Parts: sequence; C-alpha cells; structure tokens
Amino acid sequence: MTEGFTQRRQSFTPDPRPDWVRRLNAEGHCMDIRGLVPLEENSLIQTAMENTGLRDFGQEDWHERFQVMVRSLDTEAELTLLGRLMTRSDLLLFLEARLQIEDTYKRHPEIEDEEVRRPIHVIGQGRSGTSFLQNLLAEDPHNGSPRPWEIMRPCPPPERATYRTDPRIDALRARAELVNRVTPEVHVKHEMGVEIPEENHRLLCLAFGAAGWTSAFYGQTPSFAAHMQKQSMVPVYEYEKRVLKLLQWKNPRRHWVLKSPLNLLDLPAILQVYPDSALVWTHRDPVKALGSLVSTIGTLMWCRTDTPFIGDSLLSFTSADASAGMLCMPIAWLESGVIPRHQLYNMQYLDFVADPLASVLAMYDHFGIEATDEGRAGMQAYLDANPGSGRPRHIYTTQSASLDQERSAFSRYQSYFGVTNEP
Amino acid sequence: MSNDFAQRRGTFRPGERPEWVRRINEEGRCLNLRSVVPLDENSLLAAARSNTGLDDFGDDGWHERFQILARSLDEESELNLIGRLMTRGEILAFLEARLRIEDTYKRHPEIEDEQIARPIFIVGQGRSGTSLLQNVLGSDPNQGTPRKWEVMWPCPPPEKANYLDDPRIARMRDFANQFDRVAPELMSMHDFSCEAPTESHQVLSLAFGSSGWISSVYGQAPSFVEYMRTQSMVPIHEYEKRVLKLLQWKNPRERWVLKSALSMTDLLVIREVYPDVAFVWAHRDPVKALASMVNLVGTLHWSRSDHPFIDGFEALTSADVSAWLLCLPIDWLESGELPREQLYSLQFQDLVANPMATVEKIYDYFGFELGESSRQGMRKYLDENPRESKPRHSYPVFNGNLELERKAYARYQDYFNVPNEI
Repeated sequence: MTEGFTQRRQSFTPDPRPDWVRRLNAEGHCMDIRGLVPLEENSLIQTAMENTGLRDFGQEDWHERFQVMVRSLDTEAELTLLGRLMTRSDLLLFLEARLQIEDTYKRHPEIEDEEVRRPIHVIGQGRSGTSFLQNLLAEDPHNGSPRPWEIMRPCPPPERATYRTDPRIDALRARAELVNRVTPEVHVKHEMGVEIPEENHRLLCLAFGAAGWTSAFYGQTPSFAAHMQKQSMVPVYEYEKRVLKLLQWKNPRRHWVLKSPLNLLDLPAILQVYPDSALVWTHRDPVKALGSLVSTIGTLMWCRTDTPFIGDSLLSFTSADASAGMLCMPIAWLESGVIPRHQLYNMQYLDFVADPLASVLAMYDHFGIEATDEGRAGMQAYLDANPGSGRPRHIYTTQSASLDQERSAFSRYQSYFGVTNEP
Repeated sequence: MSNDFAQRRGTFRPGERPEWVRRINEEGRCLNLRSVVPLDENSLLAAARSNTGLDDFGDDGWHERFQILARSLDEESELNLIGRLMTRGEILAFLEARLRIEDTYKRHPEIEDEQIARPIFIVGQGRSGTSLLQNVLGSDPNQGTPRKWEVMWPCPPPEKANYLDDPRIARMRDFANQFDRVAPELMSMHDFSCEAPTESHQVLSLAFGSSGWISSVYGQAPSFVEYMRTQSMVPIHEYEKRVLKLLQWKNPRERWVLKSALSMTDLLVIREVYPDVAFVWAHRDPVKALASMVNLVGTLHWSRSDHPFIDGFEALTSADVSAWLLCLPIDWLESGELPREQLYSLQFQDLVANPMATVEKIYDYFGFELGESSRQGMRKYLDENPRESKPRHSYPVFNGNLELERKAYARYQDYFNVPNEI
C-alpha cells in the first residue's frame, strides 16, 4: 500500500517558480522566518481583535481546533517565507470574519431565524466534474454558491441588489488571485478567483475544522489532521450553517449549492446538520481522477512549501487504496441506512459532460427541485458561454506502474455505482 | 530654513529597484502588511522570548524607548513588505541579544569587572572619512572595533582564539548582505557586511536609543526621534559599555575604537560614561559631506520604503541644522566642558593623502604606544584595501544655494580650518 502512495506522489514534478517568488523565499533562508511571520495563537488572536475592535469569537469549540491547527502550521508545514505570509494572512481573514460574524449576529439576532433549506451538496472525487456541476448549478438564479470574497469578508452581509457589484469584489481581487501569481500553473488545474463559486470547505475554515482543505491550501498539518480524526464534524458544519444564514439574510436563495470532494468523508455529520440535504455524487473513473488530483494538490502545496506531500493527511486524495477506502465509506452508510437512498443522486461524469443540462434537470426532478425558466436559461447561458466546460483542459498522466493494483482497489466502488473505465 | 530642507531632500534620486524587490513590494499591497508582518510591541517581545527561552531584558529604561520606537516604525515609517521583514528581523535580533546578554551576565557576574579604558571615539559628519579611520585604527592588533556580527549576535561572547573564524560570521553573511541585494547601489556607499566594523549606533540600537541611526537604517521613526530629544543618552551609552565589556571579556583589547558619525550632540554624554575617552574628529568640507550623506540616507530609506525622507531628518539633510550641530563642540571646547586634550582634529584630505602619518599624529597626541605590530596591522589593512578598489559612490553634489550653506558653515569651517572642496 505504501508503495502505491509513493508512486502517485512521486509522479508530481513542480513547475519552476517565478523569479520573485524564488528570490523572496531565498531571502527567507537567511532570516528567522518563524520570528518574522508569527504563526502563533496569541499574536494571531491579538491582531484580529485589534484589526476589528471586536473580542467575541463565538462559541468556544473553535479554539482548541485553532490552537492545534496553528501549532501544526507553525512547526510541521515547512512553509516558505512567502508561504508563511500567505497563511498568516489567511488565518487572520478567518479570525476577523468570525469576530465580525458574531458581532453581526449580536446586532441582528433575527439572522438566527433564517433557514437553510434543502442545500444541494455536490460530492465526488476531485476532478470528476464537481466544479463544473457547481458552476453550472450556481447559474440558476434560485441557487447560490458561496464566493471567495464573501467567505473572506462576510460582513456586512452581502445584499441582493449589489451582490455582483459589491466593492469587496474589487478590493479583494488581487489577494484572492495571489495563488495564481505564485504558482501560475495552478490556473489550468483549479481555477482561483474572487467571484467563482468556492468549495464549502473553505467556509469550514472559519470554524478551523477543515483538515484536508487546510493541508492542501494553507500548509500541511499532519497533527491537526490526526486531531480532527477524533473530533465530531457536527459543530464544524453547524458553524458553516451559521455563516450561510448570515450570507443569505440579505441575499436570499432557494438552495445553497455546496461542493467539495472532502464532504464525502463527512456525510453523516452533514445529514445531521442538514437533514434534508440533496446529495449529488458525480462518478468518474477513479484512476483517471486520481492522477490529476496529485498534480493539483502538489501544486497548491508547492505554492507555499518546498516539500509537498510531507505528511499523510491527504492520502485519501493521492493514493489509490486510501482513495478507494474513502469512496467506499458511503456504500456502508447507504447499506446501513445512515444515508437514505433517496437523498443521494448518482450522476455519471460521462453522461454529465455529454449533456449537462439534461443531467441537471434529471437531478432536479429526482429531488423535486423546481426547474424554472430562469434557471434553465441561466444554466444554458453558462453552457453557451463556456463550450467544452467539464472537458478537462488540464493534461495529466494516468500512467502508473501499478495500474492493475489501482483498478483492483477501486473495483468495489466502480461496481457498486456502475462506474466505467475511461480509456 | 524649510526651503533648505526641500532643496537637500530634493537632490535625492532613488536607484532602480531589482525586479524581484519591486514585485515583492507590489504583492505586499494586497496583504495587510501591518498584520502579516507585525511590528507591535507584544508580538515582538513574545517572539524574542520564545526564540531564546529567556525573559529578562535588563533594565536601563529600554522598554519605554522600545515601545515608542515600535509604534513609530509600525505606524509612521511606511515600510514596504521587504522593509517590514528586514526591520522586524533586526528588532528581534536586538531583543534577543538583550535577553542573551542579561542571561550571560547572570551566569558570569565577573563580566561586570571588565574595564573599558581610553576608548577612541571617532566623530565627525558622516561621509568624512570616519569609516576609513575606524577600519585603519581597528586593524591595530591592540585595538578592537565592534563588528556587525558580534553586535547582532553577541552571545556567547566571542573568544580571542576564533574571533576571525567564529561560525556566526559565516551564518550571518547572507543576512548581512541583504542590504546590498535589496539596494545594490548601497555597495558603493557603505560596507554593511557582517565582518565590517560597525557604528557605535548599532550597539546603541540594542538599547533602542539611537534615533538618528535607527531612523536612517531600520525605518523612519519621526515620533521616536522627537521623543529621544527629551531623553538622556547616559543610560544608553551605559548599556553600550555593558555590551563592550561582554564583547571584550573573552577577547580582550587594549582599546576600543568606536565610531559615531551622527552624535555631535552626545560628546559630553560620552565623556560622562567614558571619562578618559579620546575623541578623534575627521573634518571635511560640510557641503560635500552633507551631499553624500543625503544620498546614503535616502538610499537606506528607499531600500525599505517608497517614501524616503518622511520627516524628522533635519540633522541629516539640512545645512542649518547640520551647521548648528557642528558648532556645538566649539562652545564646549571654549567653556572647557570638553577638554582640548581629549579631542584630536584631523582633515579628511590629510587622512586620505597619508593615512599612516595621520594615525601617527593621533597616537602621539593621546600618548598611545605605536609599536611595530600596530604599524604592521594598519599598513596591511591599507595595502589590502586601496581606495580605488571600491566602487565609486557618485551623488549629486549640490544644486541648491551654495552661498547660503557656506554662510551657515562659516563658523565651523573657520574654527577648525576646514577647506572648501567645491
């Protein structure tokens, strides 16, 4: 099994870095970068409180997760100087968002009464069309997907009338696109912007509960991941719901579209927090998806460290065995009734890319979600404007010495959901 | 007078930044710099404590100075991303040096008994040959001059046996040369490398007490400069003495050669702390010296900020203030507060024309012994470092009102017979 991990991870070769990135990180080699850019609990909390003038971070459960995560980022993630700068900046955004969220709730307790009804949770292995599906669903004006800018600065809560022209969009654009300038190659692998629909695991970061997302984006955090394996994800998703209520308060939508491959691991917690969730799973030849993921995650790590794939917190996305284990977990939940079958809609990637709109409408029909004229028109307009969406532009290698081994690891998943091999 | 400031400052033209520096600072604009690279008191103190595992910073009144400096750097100095990184790094080094100095004293209280006898203090306007003089006098094996590496990282105290190949020298090299990588034009202006003799001001920075130097090198700190005008410099030079004792403990020298280019105002304080001090004043046409100084300070500012010469640098950029400073010691000489036998005056031209002859006169004046090994050491330095070997520092000499400046400097030039160069 270990062999399988190494092979996939070794297939990752980073692109050369832009000169300014290389030079800045080289300067970091002769400086005390831990001292220069503190990733230390007190300094972060103090700074966030000073920047906002607020002191209440909300219900206490976040704090231990935050402590473990920060210590792990500081001592284990092997961040470069630029990596530390970016990660400190990200952590401060989360902390400040929390402070402002609590403050907004205090001044507007009626936000508590908002209801998050029937969210559509897009799940599935990364690179299996989940982003395409989320982007498409987000074009139905009755749906909403959280955008990076409103996760970065959720307060004041976005308003419907100015949602597309909110000044935060321009103010945060350069910051949101920083990753693209540090690792320009990321662009073809995972689109990063200020307005494109974001994964819900970035929202979970406001509760400091997204170990997988953290390891891919902010720094590899093995001991945080180990800690989170023992923790309930329920309070983390409860906090996500709290944020969603605030985001929809002045900008209502019928359904949230929440997507992340990482949701696969948390389905029981998700169903506990969102009992009427509509789960949509895009299935794709897992061998194909896996090869691409290694390169995407490797690039995101390379953005902030010289040593991608230190720990094993993202094994489920880079090793066939661990990935197969993750893909099979829901089978047990389906069999045991933890996931009611009618709450899961299975969509084959190949069908979806062949006729995206028909696939979406079939899914709507399954869940009894109304397909309005505006919804169809919005999604059709998106498809017209983005021909070939979902067709991976990103070229990656699926050659693996142990292809047979991988096929056999995935066989239970593929046969249960009828997922065919791709050439 | 304010017109005059404008003229001098107006002569400064920044060099072109290396592309990577430009890019990094540009990226800094999308980050909350003050938050991402904090310069607030608590975060600095916490980082220094956690890096050393120590808690006692000593007590010479440093804390209030440090607080005001940190606030001033944080809020006023307009540091860019690379500037904040460099400055936070240096402030942390000072704090950590303090923690380690106190710890070393606690474990070796006998360091208190060290004597600092007859230090040579080289004074004068910046850019008037003071560095050359410090290098030459520091090459006398009986004398020692503090090197940047031992001031930044003084503990464990350097030892005589491996002073020249202490592992800290190699470890600090890249860090010390960062100045030159960020602003390559600095290479022709001043040697900031880790083995180079450093200013007394660098030692005073450990006491957070040298406002002119700090504001030139680490970040413009006008309200700190303002505050320091009201403070006694005595405890700050006392702390310097404390550092020197520690540095000579395992690496003894007959005399320290210290250089303090900015501190005309401090001569009496220095004498209070070092009663037998030997002052050596290098005189140079102040019009020329000031022009060179404006260019150096402007470049240092520019290496960390997009806004050089924010405020509070009258002494460095204005002829009137500069002339006033140069005349202060005249009054002290006349009143006897500064005994004539404790000050040797020399002319820049003579020093450059014949350094050894100048050195002989200094030794003779103060009754220092000039043995063969001392001569050899100094000659060796001069042979190995001919002036032509260094890149030429070119700067706009003057495009302001020369007549007005000459008038301002008349008393100084007349009293010390300082010839015009232009």
